[in-house]
Formats: sequence, structure tokens, C-alpha cells
Amino acid sequence: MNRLDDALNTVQRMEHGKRELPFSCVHPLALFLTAAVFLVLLTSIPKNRLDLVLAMGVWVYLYALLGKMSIGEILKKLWALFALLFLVGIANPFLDRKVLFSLGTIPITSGMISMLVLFLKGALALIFASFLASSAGMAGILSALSMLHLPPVLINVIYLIYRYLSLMLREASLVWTAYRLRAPGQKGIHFGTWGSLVGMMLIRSMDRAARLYQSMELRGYRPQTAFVTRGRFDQKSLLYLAVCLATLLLVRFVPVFSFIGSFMVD
Amino acid sequence: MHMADALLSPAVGGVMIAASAAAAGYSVHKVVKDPDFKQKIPAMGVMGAFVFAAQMINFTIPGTCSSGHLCGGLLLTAILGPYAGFLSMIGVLLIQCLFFADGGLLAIGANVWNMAFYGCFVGSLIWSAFMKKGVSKARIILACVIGSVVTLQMGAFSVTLETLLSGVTELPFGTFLGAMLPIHLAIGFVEGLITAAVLCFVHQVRPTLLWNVENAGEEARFSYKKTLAVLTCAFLLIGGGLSLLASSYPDGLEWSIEKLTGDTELEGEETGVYETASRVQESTSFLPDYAFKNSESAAGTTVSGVVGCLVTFGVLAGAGALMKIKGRKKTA
Repeated sequence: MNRLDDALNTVQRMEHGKRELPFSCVHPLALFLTAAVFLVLLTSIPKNRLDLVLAMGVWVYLYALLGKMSIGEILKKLWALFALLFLVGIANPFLDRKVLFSLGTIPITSGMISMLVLFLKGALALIFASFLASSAGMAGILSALSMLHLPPVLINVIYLIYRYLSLMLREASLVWTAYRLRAPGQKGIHFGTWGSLVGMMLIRSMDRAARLYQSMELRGYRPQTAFVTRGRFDQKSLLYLAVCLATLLLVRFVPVFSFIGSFMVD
Repeated sequence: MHMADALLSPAVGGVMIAASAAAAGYSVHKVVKDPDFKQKIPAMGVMGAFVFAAQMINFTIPGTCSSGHLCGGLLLTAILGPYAGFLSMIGVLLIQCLFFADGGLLAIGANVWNMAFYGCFVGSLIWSAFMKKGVSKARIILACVIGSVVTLQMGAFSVTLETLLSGVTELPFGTFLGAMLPIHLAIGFVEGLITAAVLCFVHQVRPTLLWNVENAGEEARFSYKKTLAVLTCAFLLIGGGLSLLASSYPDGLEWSIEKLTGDTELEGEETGVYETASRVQESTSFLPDYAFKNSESAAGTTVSGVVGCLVTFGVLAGAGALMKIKGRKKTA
């Protein structure tokens, strides 16, 4: 399966296969603020504090259990994220050789720890952003952004991109399949047809979008009023936000693992 | 070039969000004031979705066994203009980050700055400069290739700077930059060619779609003599003049070798194939280490720069001519 089909499946799952998760009933603004605070606290952890990152990891795991969300599916996407993280982090063990402790005969250096912390931080940030997307959905996120006073033009553009995405991916997938059938075994699209193939797709799509937008307008779509904020910020959402923020601050600023360890070692 | 959250500290991420938000606010202000605003909204949506889909299609990179994809900043600018293009690119990056795990939410400001700001705003300056005196295929190609290379290099430089300021890596600035810039030079060149191919087709089929193009339907005259003269001047200036200002410090690889062995060059074995290769290289290198043989004169560096440019140009021109002959034989 190529990347196009993969992306098309993801969009179709988002549109048609939306399931009700326990946190879906929480107001999108509460979900968005929790995600924002989580990311700030996670990235503020110093590069050698593996214990704090692991505590954040436990928090994410418990959140996924309560929210009935799958971490495994998200982890499959990690390969793309690790390209730049790998480039940045791989030098740390070679350049920072200060030995912190030994595991048997293996010396564990500061560079090894900072590399591990970097990879874990990247994975946790990705997992939590995906949680936000699956529990709030696109409409919820845009609603939260609207409440945070993001300009309506920008919100409408994002919404239209999202709406047109499945159309465009389907079109691109058809073009790509047709091309592959005519050029079996070829890696990518031959440079002789770069312009005409993609250019034709672009012109056809623009015409189609203009027709689509006209029909939307005829049915009463107005960019200024199209996107109204959803629901009320009720007590349930407030409670969710308070519990999440309190526990997040706890795991970030109190070294929970060291505290538990202190009971085991005199 | 999508940055993950882990590569940024909250301070750097926050500053980049603020900078991108300011650029987005100004763009919204300009787009709303545009008399064609109503017509632009569906075009912005569809162009954003188009760039998203186009990024999924890989193109063969001629002469290599690999493929690359479109990035889209310059393409959006060439069709929508910088402000609308910038807003569309923000939409693409936000959807990629939330639903496709490409780039981070805290890093959205940095990603918008590195990919959308340079691609759209710096790209629009380059596009406008080339289109000022009319449009032609050659001008579109030059604008796209130069625009893509410059904006991608600026983006890669920003990634390096933001990561180092966040303090997440032990890599020295020069080494990190040495790893980022060359690879993005190649990517920028390929992206420029793909963007140029698409825009040349648009110019041929529907020229009015192109942004900020005077007399879109008419083909401007392209002078090969003038272009060659400009290229020659650039060769002489860079190869002959700027080469004198090149840093005397070791490059990334030499730096690493020096750290390990104490010297920037490794001593090879003086036997067999090593000795033969060394002898051949000694006899062919008429300007060893970019200088005259047995001379410390600065003129040696200047001559090396100019000769290097001319030889490279000659080799590429020869390869181009051979490909043309091969193409003609195939069609015959």
C-alpha cells in the first residue's frame, strides 16, 4: 500500500469511522488546553531527567487506558518522526561521554540518557497530539481554535482543506494508479511527465473546487458564520481540565520515581 | 523538514509560535482586503489540499535511484500569492501534525516559519523579481529552482538554529549545519524542477492562474546570451572572488576525524592499490588543495575557483548534449 492509499484510509477513517471515546464528551477547548499544557511541560523537562520523562510516559499510558485509546496504532507512524530526531540525537552518546552510573559492566553516559530522553519526548508528544485529534476531531479542534480567537478566515481555510482532502487524495490515488499501470516497475513518476500529470490534476481540481464552493454557497454556506462554537464548557469539562492539569503538574515537578525508590532503599 | 516537539524547548517553540502568529495575522489582514477575497477562499482550500496530496506522490530524480516529493510553498505563492499561500500552508501543516503525526503541535510555529514563511514570502520576492519583465518558460524554471533552493536552505538553517537554541543536541553548530544544508540543497533543486514543470504546464494551459504575472498570455523573450553572461559573471564572482573568503576551519568530516585522530587527514597505506590511486591523483590534480603546486599564493585559490566552475559547467553541458543526442536517437 503506498502513502497515498494510507493517507486516504486515515481520512476516511476520520470521516466515517468516528467512534465515541470516553473523552469525546469533554469540551474541545478543555482537550486542546490539556494537550498544550502537556506539550509545554514535556518539552520543559531537562535533557538528562529520564525519570521525569518516564513518569510522563506512565501518565500518558493511564490516560490512554481511561480514554480507551490505542497507543500501538500511533507507534506505527513513528518511523517518519524519528528521521530528524535520529540525526539530532545520535551524536549525543559520542560527544557527551560523562559516565553517570554503570549497569553491570556497561557504563551509562550522560549522552546515552539525553538521546533516550529525546526519543521518548518525541514519541510521547506525538502520541498525545494523536489523542487530541481522535477525541476532539477536526470540528472540535477548529471550535477550540475559534474560541481562542483564531481569525475566521484561517479557520475556514483549514476546514476547507480538510473537506477537500479526501477528494484530492482520491483523485491523486486514481492518477497514480493509472500511471503505475502504464509504467510498471518504475520508481516514481518519470520527469518527462512531471508537469502535465500534476498540472492537469491541479487545473481539474481548481475547476471542481470552484463548482463545489458555488453549490455550497447556494445551499447557504457563509464563511463568516459557517463555523460556530460547539457546546458549553460544562462542569464535566472543568473537572477533566482540573484533574489533568493537577496530575500533570505533579508528575512534572515531583520526582515520583525517586520518591517511590526512597522507600525501597533505606 | 517537519520538526517534532522534542526538538524544541518551550521558550523557542513559544517564540516561533508568536512570530508565525504575527505573520499569519498580517496575512489575514491582507487577504481580507483583497478584492478577489471571495473567489480566493475555495482556491485556498483546494490548493492546500492539492499540496497535501502532491506531497504523497514521489517523483523519480533523474540519474539516481531515488525519488523526491513536492514541498509546496513556492507553488502556493505562484498561484495564490504570498498571503493566501501562507495561510493555506498553515492549514496543511496543522492537519499533517494533528492527523498524520508529521511535525509537532508545539513545533507548529517553527514548522510554519521554516516551511511556509520562507517558501511563501521569500519565494514571492524571487518569483516577482523574475516575472517583473514578463513570463517565459525559462524564467519560470529559474524562479522555481532558485526560489526552492534558497527557501529550503533558509528553512534548514532555521531548523539547525532552533534545535541548537533549544539545547537538545550535543552536535556543534558547524557539524549540524554541514549535515542539514547539503541534503536540502539537493532536495531544493529537485523540488524546484517539479514546481517548474507544474507551473510551466499551468502557464501553457491557463496562464491567468499565475500570480503577479504581467501579460500572462504573452511569451516574453528569453535571451540565452544574456543568461550565459549573467551565469559567467556569477561564476567569476563566486569562484574567483568569494572563494578567498572561505573559512580556513576544517569541514564537518575533517572536524570529526581531527577529534578522533588529532589530524584532519588520515594516512593511508603506501602499498598496492592505495599507492596506485595516490600516484594517479597526484598526476591529475593540477591544482592540489585548491592552490598552485608548491605555492602559497592567493591567486591559486582564485584560479582554482574559476577553473572548477568552468570544468563543472563543461561537464554538465556535455552531459546535457549527450542526453539530447540520445533522446533524438530514441525518437528517431
